[in-house]
Amino acid sequence: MGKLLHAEWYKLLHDKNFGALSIAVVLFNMIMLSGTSVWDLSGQSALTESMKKEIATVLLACIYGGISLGSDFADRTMYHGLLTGRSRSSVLIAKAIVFTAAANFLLFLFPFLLTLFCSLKNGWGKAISTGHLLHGTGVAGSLLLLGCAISALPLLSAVCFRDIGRTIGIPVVLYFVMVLLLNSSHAAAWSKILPIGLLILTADGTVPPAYGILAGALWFAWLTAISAFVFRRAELR
Amino acid sequence: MEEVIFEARNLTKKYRNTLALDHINLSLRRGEVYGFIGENGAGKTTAIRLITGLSFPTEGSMALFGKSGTKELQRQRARIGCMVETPALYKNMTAVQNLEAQRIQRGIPDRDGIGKTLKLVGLSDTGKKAVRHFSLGMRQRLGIAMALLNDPEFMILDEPINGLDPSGIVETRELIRQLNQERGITFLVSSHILSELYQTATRYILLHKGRVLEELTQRELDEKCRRHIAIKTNDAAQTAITLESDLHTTNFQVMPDGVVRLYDHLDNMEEVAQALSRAGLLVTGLSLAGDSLENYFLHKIGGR
Repeated sequence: MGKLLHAEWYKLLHDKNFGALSIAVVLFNMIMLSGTSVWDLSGQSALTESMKKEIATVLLACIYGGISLGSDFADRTMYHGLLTGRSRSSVLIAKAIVFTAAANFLLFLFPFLLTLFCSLKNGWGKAISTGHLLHGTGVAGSLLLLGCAISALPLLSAVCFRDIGRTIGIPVVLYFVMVLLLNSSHAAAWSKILPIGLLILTADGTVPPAYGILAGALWFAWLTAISAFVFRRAELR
Repeated sequence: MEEVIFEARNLTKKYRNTLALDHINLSLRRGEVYGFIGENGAGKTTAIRLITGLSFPTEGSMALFGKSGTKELQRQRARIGCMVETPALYKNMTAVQNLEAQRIQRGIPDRDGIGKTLKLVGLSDTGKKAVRHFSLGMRQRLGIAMALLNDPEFMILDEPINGLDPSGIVETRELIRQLNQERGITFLVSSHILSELYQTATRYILLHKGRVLEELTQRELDEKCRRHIAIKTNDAAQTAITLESDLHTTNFQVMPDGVVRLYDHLDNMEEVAQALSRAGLLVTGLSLAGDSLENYFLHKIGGR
């Protein structure tokens, strides 16, 4: 498993698409926030504001899923893993761990940079106590788990459809469906169920971090388990 | 006794209404170069997918290096190197990076192996060029290098000379021979270019509509393809006597089906016919036979 993880990590570091998308995410968010006063906010307020704009970044993370996971199936590079003597589950788990880390990096790169920038420039905005630190750690943990849940959708799509087009297309369609639901008359209810909605609610403190952690973990575990189940039985090209 | 490195018993693969492999039995022995021959859709790639674990059999069993069962097969696959259909490469990475990823994944400690393998396939000077800019032939060579990196005992190459230029074809042929002879690697090579297979393989497996039509050695094939006069009479024994006494030749073979194969007098069929007639034999067939591997294969599958 360690070798599979190491190889996946190596591939990620040498993936030019990942580097290009990381730059694109930062530029995209900077353009979205240009002309606003977000740069003058405190670190804490900047984090909340940037999470509200995170929905657009999710789309880029979905596209990365298609490029990364979809091409592994389309180019049939997946079979190199199968010929290492490891089980299909190990191959998928190694891929899922590194992909999830990469997707989370894309999702939280800009909020992290903005929060860091605003904290250094304008301060955090509140006195930092042990309670605040604990709460902040909880929020960060829940955001990461919700990020994992979001990235598990392209993983499931890649495993089910095994090509680039549908691995990008299906999560993007589902993404727009989720955005529609979050703008519907039942938005309040949906936002407490869907990971994208919870991302914002956890960041602005509407829901407690524990709720975000629980929901994120459930979504992630459920989607990854289905992916593993499908992949173990999948006929590969 | 020669070691069997792969064995299939009643291996069957069904895709909905299509029977891709129909209860095939195979035994591949160590040290041989197997030519896997069949038309498109004959089941070659399906069989390769089953061996490499990309696909699952509907029925039947397999054993790799004498081990069977899901877990053991999975472990033994680490001893295989393969290239199924087109080479599976990371297109945004260079040749060295592709092999490095493979080296890490396979847990190969020797980093020098990358340079040696690239040199072996003639790709040592590709530098920082990404694989997506490689020609088809270069990709094919890199695919072979990826399969070779872990020093496999058994190599499966599906159409390895696709897209190669004539010198590339010769180099690949030489490489297969060299690896087979020097390292004792067993090969299973599928190709549509039968004349090419003929120069590489030591044994042939003829696959047609998901079934193994025939398995034969190079010698058996040569024997079958050797040009001869096929003589069919009402009495094979008398035919043999006539050939010996009248035509003064022993260069013939009486086949189990009663056909006598005469390997000389090829330019003088008339004389053969007259001799048989003089001996009072009823000649029901007299024809020139023996062909290239292509024609032999076409004849076997009923195409010609």
